[in-house]
Amino acid sequence: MASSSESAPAADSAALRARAGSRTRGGRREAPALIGVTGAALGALALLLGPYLSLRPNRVVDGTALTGLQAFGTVGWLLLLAWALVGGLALISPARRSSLARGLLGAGILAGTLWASGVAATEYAAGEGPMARTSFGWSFYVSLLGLYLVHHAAATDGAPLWRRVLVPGTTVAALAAVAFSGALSDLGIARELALARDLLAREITAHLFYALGATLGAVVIGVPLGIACERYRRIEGPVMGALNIGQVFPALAFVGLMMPVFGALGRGVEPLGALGVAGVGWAPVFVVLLVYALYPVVRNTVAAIRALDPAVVDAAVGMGMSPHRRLAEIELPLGFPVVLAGVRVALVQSTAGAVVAAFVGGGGLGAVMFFGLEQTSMDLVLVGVAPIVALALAFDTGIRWLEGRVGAARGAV
Amino acid sequence: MIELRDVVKRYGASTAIDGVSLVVGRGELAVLLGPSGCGKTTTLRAINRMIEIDAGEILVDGRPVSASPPDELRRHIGYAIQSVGLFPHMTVERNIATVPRLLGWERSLVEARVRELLQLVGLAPSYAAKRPGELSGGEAQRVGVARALAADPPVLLMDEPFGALDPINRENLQREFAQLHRRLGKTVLFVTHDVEEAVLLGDRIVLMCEGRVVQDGTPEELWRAPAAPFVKEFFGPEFGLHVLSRHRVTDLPLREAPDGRAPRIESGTTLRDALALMVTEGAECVAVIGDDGAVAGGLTIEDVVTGVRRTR
Repeated sequence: MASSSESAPAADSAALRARAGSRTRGGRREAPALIGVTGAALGALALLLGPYLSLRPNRVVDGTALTGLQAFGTVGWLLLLAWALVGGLALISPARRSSLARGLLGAGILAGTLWASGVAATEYAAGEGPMARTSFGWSFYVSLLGLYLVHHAAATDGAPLWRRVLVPGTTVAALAAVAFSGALSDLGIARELALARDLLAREITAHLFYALGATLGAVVIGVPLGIACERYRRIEGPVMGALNIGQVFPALAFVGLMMPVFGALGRGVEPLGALGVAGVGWAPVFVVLLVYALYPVVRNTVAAIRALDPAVVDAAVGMGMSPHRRLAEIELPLGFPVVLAGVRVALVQSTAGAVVAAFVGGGGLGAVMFFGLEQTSMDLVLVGVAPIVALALAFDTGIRWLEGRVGAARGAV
Repeated sequence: MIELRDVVKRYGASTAIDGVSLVVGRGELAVLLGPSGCGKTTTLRAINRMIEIDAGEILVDGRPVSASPPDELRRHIGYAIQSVGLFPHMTVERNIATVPRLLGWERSLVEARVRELLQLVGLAPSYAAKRPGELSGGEAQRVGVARALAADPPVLLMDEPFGALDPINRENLQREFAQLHRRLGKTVLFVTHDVEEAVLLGDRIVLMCEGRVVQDGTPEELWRAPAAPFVKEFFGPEFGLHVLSRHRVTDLPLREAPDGRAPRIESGTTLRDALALMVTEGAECVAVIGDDGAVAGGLTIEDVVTGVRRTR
């Protein structure tokens, strides 16, 4: 066949994509003004009303609650001014033009608020001694929500890279600067962190063991199980049904059910007992998390293979690829991003779910959290919860990024 | 050679193919034609055992297809489909090399074969490294044809391979494929519902309706002697025009050279293009130019109309 130039359709589809892109941006144009102003209003109101900081002589007793303005004095008024500025900018110039200014102001507000809180805590501690606790009240969290909205409204999807990373980068840098200056060391959460540092390191390790271990186990069992379900429809119903039941079972009840089983196993089977398998401890928790994690992995593996372009599968079959070869060369490589999405859900879910270990002496970050609850120390609860959230977000973001990279490499459009 | 004997395929109560028998001779390009749902694709897919038949026998090069394991069988039968089904995560080279790899060819042999095939289907060697996502529809189908030909199978099954292309690309690929077929001499069974494509490409047309073969013969035979009213109906009023495009002006006996005012055409021109020229120019007669550049003779509208009736 003679050569011919047929690049026109490709160029067409590129133009089409570009048009579709500009349409989505156009459609979102109205929303940021409202979101930005709402965020700024929340932030300003949070400073004026409600408990922003609570000062207590020690971890246990009640203390005094202060509004932001009461706690920060002159700096409080400056922060209020900054909030007003952000809101005003969002109102008069909702488009992308002022988004950089709004984002940077938001970063400044966050750093300033934390710094002022740290200073207030240091002043209080100077009078009350090392047992004193300065904690954030709910108004502080409202102002965090306000900041989130401001940042969201100032998001710049289509902008060049430097433009997109400037605001998050500045925020992180400002936070790091405030943290490393030592200004925060007298806040309750910093004091609890300092006290719990060794405990925290140990429990993060235990928590990671649960989350990563259960997910790994779910992948090792779930991917072959998913492939089997896709191949043999007869077993798909029973398998998915069983996993579904596991899924709706409350975690604690599930662990409770497992306890006698593992108790008997630990007592009856010498080597398992030596590994610490018992009615309480890591074993029942691990297995329960694994069962929960199986569901997204199996479901996505089935979906990944089933969602393949039928023409691709037909061509593979028609050219004489054996089922094994098809799996290795076509189905798994092409379905990999979807399988990965299932692994992501499993990992995030296990990271959050692993707190249940604390109920049965299995440790993990849940132990820190519940210890804080027993002590009525919200600061200590936060010391336990914050790493869970951070880990879950990090796993989610990391695997999402990987999905995108893999998808692009697989020629998915 | 492909041979089907009384092949039957049922789906529950309905019969998709109902006693189909046909023979595609070695090197022949037979077109399976018919309206959608007539069983032509089912028939095609029964040959490489993508569908298992309920009764009858299918032979490829004299061997019953049921005698070899399906995967083994398919590696020796080329297969190209309308939606192409290129593997999006593999380069064009790796796509084309699929069956040779399955057959365990040596690497250097595979590479040489890929280069050869790219040239054969009219793509530059640089296409080897591209991904299917970077190809246009026509280019992708060229790769699809190259992939079907990769291991040099004696038999080729094609299911509406050009059906998804725009008219200009389709025409180019049809013409190039016809040339390619003449050059390679493969035994081809080609499914389409496009009458024009069938008449243009087919050495033979097997017209199907409701799971049965209605008529089997050359396009000229079906045109001149339709076996049933359905044949005439299905091919429509332009059937004769389509047949004209199968023949060149030099296929007819030429009359004495006309005077100098007659429009001139080259000897390779199809009868259809010659007729079109006469209608467009309002001329009764055209002058046919021979390979030596001199007028070889003349052809009138009447010559075309009566002459084509006598072609085989």
